[in-house]
Amino acid sequence: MDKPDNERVELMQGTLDMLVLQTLLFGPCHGHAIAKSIQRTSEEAFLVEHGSLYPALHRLERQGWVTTKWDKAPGKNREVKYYLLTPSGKKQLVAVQNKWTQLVAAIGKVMRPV
Amino acid sequence: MTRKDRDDELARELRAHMEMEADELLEQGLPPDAARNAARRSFGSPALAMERTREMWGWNSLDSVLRNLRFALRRARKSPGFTATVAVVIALAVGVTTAIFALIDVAFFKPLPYPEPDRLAYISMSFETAGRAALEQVLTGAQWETLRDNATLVGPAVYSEWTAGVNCGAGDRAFFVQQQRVGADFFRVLGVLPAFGRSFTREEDSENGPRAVVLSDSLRRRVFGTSPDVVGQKLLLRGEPYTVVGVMPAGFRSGVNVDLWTPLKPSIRGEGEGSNYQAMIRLKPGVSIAGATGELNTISRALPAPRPARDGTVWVPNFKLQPLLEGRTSDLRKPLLLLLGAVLTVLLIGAINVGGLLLARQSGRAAELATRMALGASRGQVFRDVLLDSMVLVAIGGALAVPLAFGALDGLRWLNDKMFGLVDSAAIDGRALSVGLACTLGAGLIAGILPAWQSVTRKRRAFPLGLLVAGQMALVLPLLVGAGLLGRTFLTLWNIEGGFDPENLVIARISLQDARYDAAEKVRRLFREGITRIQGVPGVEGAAAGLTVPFERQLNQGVRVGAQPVPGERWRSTNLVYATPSYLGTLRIPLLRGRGLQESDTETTEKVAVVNATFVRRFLDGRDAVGEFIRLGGKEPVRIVGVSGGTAQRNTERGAPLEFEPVAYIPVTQMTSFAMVHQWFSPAWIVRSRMQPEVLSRQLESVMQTLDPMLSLSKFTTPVEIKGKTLGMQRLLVSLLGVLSGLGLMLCVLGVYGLVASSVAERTREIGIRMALGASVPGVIQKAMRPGLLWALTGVAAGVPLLYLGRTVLAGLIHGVSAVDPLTYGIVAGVLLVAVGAASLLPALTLTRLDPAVTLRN
Repeated sequence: MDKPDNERVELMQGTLDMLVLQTLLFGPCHGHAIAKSIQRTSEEAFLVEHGSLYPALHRLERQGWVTTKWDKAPGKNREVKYYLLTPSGKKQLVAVQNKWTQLVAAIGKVMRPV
Repeated sequence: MTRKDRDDELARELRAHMEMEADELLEQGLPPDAARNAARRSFGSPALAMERTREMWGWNSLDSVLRNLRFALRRARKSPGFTATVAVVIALAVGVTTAIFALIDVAFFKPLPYPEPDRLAYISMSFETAGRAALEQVLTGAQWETLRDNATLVGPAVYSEWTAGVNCGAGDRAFFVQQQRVGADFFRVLGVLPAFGRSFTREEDSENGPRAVVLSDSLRRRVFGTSPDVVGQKLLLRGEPYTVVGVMPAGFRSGVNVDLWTPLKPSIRGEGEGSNYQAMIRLKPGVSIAGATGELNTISRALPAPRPARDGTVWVPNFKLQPLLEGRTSDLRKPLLLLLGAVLTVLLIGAINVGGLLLARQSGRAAELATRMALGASRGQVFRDVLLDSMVLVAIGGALAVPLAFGALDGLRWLNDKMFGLVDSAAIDGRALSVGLACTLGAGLIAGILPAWQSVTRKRRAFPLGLLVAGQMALVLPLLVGAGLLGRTFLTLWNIEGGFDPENLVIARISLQDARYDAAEKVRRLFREGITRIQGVPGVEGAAAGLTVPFERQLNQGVRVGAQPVPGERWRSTNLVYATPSYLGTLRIPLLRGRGLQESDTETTEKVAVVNATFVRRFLDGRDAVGEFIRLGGKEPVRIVGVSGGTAQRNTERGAPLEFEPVAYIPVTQMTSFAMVHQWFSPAWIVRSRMQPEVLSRQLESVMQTLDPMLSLSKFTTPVEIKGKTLGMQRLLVSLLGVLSGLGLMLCVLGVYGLVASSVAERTREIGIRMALGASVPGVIQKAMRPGLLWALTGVAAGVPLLYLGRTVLAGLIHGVSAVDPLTYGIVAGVLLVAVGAASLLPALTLTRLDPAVTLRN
């Protein structure tokens, strides 16, 4: 199921925050699920390391873009910490998405197929 | 949410995450143990994740610094010897630096405690001749009057820096006070007016003007207590009544510690014939220094025509402005900078040394640091921690430096109270302590930067410790040479014989600043009777009296050669000593030609003088002087009846502080006016005796009691003590620089020792093999010493350019010895060779105990 390391892509600086916000758009999620979701939707291109995930989550929390709550995990007898997108987090997501689209378009114009 | 809560929560969150991961793997069919391990593997370091997340919240950096500080302190405690060495070195260097900075602060930076101090300036006379200039900080009466009468852009004031201790009587009480004489405008120019009463009027500041006095606030309290009616009260100064006209505000200082001020009464005659006045100005509002300089240059042209010097050069006088602070402290600035440079050099050597010690210790911590990095500590963290280690060590020294700084400042004052009198408001205040702190931080940084860099560098090759040793050697070289040159200067001056026999001499001073001794006849009788009685004391071999004795400062006197004035004749400057006939004999100053002063020379007989050999050489071209005439100040010719050997005197001008100077001795019976000279000098009773000084001084005191119970002998000194005082500055510099360079050398020796010891320790196996294969013990030792010797010598070579820097600093402070004195350089080279040789040899000698068999087996 894992891709070999050489097919993985390094996350660009700052993009992890955007990916996390995007993931949370579909509803509250805990850290493990966020990591898995990003990995799955990127078809295993990104491996989200915990050393970067948790700093990113706490960074978003400090900015006020996400809030947290502890809750039972479905079907498990275990409490996990859920992250929820706040209204300002949604605004932030829209803003970075616009920027991202512009960036991709701009880079696409420069980068012609070789 | 507290930090602890957040940490706990984060740990819980991570644990939950890991368990979920393990659950999933379990569901995929892995056995529980394998699942847990796989989960942990894919998870990475939880510590790292926590660490990074914590950093997000900003607490971490401070937190980790505090934690590492605890570790650093624990490490410092674990090696007490090492810590103590570092602390003592840093404490000494930082403490002395702080104390010297406190002095420098006052001498260079702190504004003078007067309103608008920027407008105050000191007036010097600059004497200029083709391309050369010499600055003299004193004015003659004529120069002062030229300035006073012509200046429009500045308000000038004149004063005398010479203070005198005088007896002050108030009612039935007597006080010993310091008196300074100042011109009428002195207080106005400084911008501080009396708190009560007024300052002096022009009338009071002129000859035969009313006797007025202004008191300091502290003297007012001592004499009159809190009574407000001080102005108009009478005081007795030197037995003469003075009226108090004003009291200065508390805290007012006129440069030196003064209790009361009296009018200077500047004149172009007497005192004013010589350069005896200091002058300062206050720029009028809106006038720039440049504008005032222009005017002063114009005024300078009105100065009395310059006299050609001995070699015929004409030095044109010109008024020169200096900021008042600079002018007042000009004599101090160079020695202070020299001391600061020396102590900073020692601090730098100490810091490099500590760096070397830390670097050597680092090799023992390599495993620990590697583990920490492997566990996820970032390079920045490790760098920071190692630097912190050095900072902690140095900071312990810095803390110890604070009490030391207070002690050092007191010590410096005690070593030379006169020299630092001008800066006695210096204190270890916030500014000085900040400088100490900056020095400490700087030293910690210098000491820690290399070990820190070494700990994170990917290069595994160790930084060559030898380079540090070389650096220290380069720095210590100018220190040693400087101390050597100052030491030679001091010894050269100290060994000046003086031209008399200083053994078994006691000199007692007596202040004759007393109205009862204004009349010449009274002074003569006092000396005549006093000497007869002292000579009658059993055990006294000889007794004399005179204005001054050799080794100390003498009375300056203008002199002209020839019985009659000749147009265009030149004034020369000699020293004048009035003396009783027994003076030369008691001091054992040899008489070279003619006769000495005699009892038969009285006020009614022909005026005579004995001049010394230096006088003859300088003013009479060395010809037979006996029978020649000179004129001393007045018009009356004085016949030279004898020539004595030269004596060494304190020289207050440029040049060495102790030099053979021209002197004219005249009989005390032919001295006509004592009042002026007795303001400056307390005459000396000179007694030659083999008695214990304590016994003798008691005898002399009882003699004086019978002579005049109102007079008391102030202090008993010996010629050696006088010489010591005259050479006080040299002694201070040489002792401080000696201590500092010794400290620096000790540090270097430690560095060399450590270098050789560590290289021996590293190569024990290799050396063991060599010895087993037949290498000789001396050969092996020689080889082991090599890095120490080589690096040390490289350092010394690198230090040679620094000597040029040192030479400019030392210029003007070394006398009687060349700046490239071969003996000094030879001694320094010898000391360095012996020190470096011993420091290299000692650790190498451990190899003689090396058993090749044991080494090989290990």
